[in-house]
Amino acid sequence: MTQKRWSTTEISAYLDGALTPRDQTALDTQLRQDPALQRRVEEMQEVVALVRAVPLRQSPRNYLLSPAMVSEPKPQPKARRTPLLLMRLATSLVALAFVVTFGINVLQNSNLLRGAMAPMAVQSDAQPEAEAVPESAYDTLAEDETAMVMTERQAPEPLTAQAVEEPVELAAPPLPEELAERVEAGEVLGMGGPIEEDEAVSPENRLAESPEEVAVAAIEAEEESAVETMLIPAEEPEESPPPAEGMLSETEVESPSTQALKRGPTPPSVWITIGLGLATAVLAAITIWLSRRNTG
Amino acid sequence: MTTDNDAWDEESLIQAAQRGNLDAFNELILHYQSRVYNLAYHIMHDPAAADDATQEAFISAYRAIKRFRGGSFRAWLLRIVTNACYDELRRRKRRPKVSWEEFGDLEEEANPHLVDSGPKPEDSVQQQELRDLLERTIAQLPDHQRTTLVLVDRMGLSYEEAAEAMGVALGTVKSRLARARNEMQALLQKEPELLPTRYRL
Repeated sequence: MTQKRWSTTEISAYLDGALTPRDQTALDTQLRQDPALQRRVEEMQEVVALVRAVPLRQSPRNYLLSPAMVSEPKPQPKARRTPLLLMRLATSLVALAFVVTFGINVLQNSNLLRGAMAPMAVQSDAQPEAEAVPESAYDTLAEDETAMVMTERQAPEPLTAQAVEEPVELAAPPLPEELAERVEAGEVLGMGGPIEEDEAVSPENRLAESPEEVAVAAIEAEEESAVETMLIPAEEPEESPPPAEGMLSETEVESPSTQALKRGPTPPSVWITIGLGLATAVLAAITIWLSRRNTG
Repeated sequence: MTTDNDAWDEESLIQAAQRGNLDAFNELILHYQSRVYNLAYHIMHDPAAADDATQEAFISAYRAIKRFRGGSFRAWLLRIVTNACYDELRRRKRRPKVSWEEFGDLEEEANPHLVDSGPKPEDSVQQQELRDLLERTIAQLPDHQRTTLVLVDRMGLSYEEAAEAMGVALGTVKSRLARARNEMQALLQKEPELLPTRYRL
């Protein structure tokens, strides 16, 4: 009869009575005939007896619970963190939108300036003539009836000949006298009294005059086209500069594009940028306050 | 200290604890705290860590007792402490090791609430030495073998309860226990002079 080789697991289970009844009987039978198996079982039995014989350690203390120990942790911190996280997210998004719109506005303005600089560059070639003929600005404005009405309404005092003579001093010699004559004749805008536009501005009349006036007319046409593209609509008369002397001086000091930028209605994108900036500041302040409240 | 007697009604205490009766749960604690602490001690090899793990396990058990669906409460409780100890061991592996030897043995601290049910003084020294040897030997076992050996041979759990406490299959408990016993035998044979005569292998 061949004897089965019992594994350690089976011997261990045999000691605990965890073998199947059939295996338990078979091992019992073989145990009586197999000294080696007997020794294996006895050795493991002694180990188990030793492990089970030694008493457990006594617990160093009682672990009785008190109501305070088992109270559920307050979920308040988690609840308080939620609005803080939302505020941080909102602040970040609004700040990002602010930066984007601000950048777009800057790009738009730079493009506008670049566009305005192009006619100015052309104008710079004929700078002496242009400065010598300040009436071109008046002629251009005279094209816009609304602007003219505004100018007349806000210009109680007509432009004096002295004021016109200042740029004339910088101009080429032949023109000041003609300009003075035209000023005296009331052809220039803001010189008092209604302007007879057909006579004062029409190119046909200029073509009939001297060659210098022909050159002036060409410059005027360029300026006219440049100013028309940027000229402020007459919806906001209160933002328009004072006519006569004030307007003349601004024309001398600042370029038409700068005037257009200053006098133009604020674009919606600017208002949006301002609004986003304010919103960013408010949200950041609230977020900081929430953060300090939570940490405190 | 509550002992196993006729007045012991585990089922009623569990139901009362599930209704929020903390006193009933404290009765269960008094009954099981020694086994829970010893299991934690064997897993952690550290009296202070075992003390913390035992307290945490009882708190976790009270908070979770409403989810106890019957079966062996002992196995359910020991599973909680087993998991707590393994979690703590994993945390310790990620942190620098701290020597707890300098904190002394918590068991030596006075505990007026515990009734001295230990052996007589003349047996105490011999049993203390034997227990120290046994604990040192058990500590050399691999984690899962050690836990299985402690649950079955030290705590007296059945194979089914041990499987439930460790969350493994019954066959796994059998094989782990057999390997643990075999390893214990080999380790104890290396220093037979330390064993009492009746336990020499």
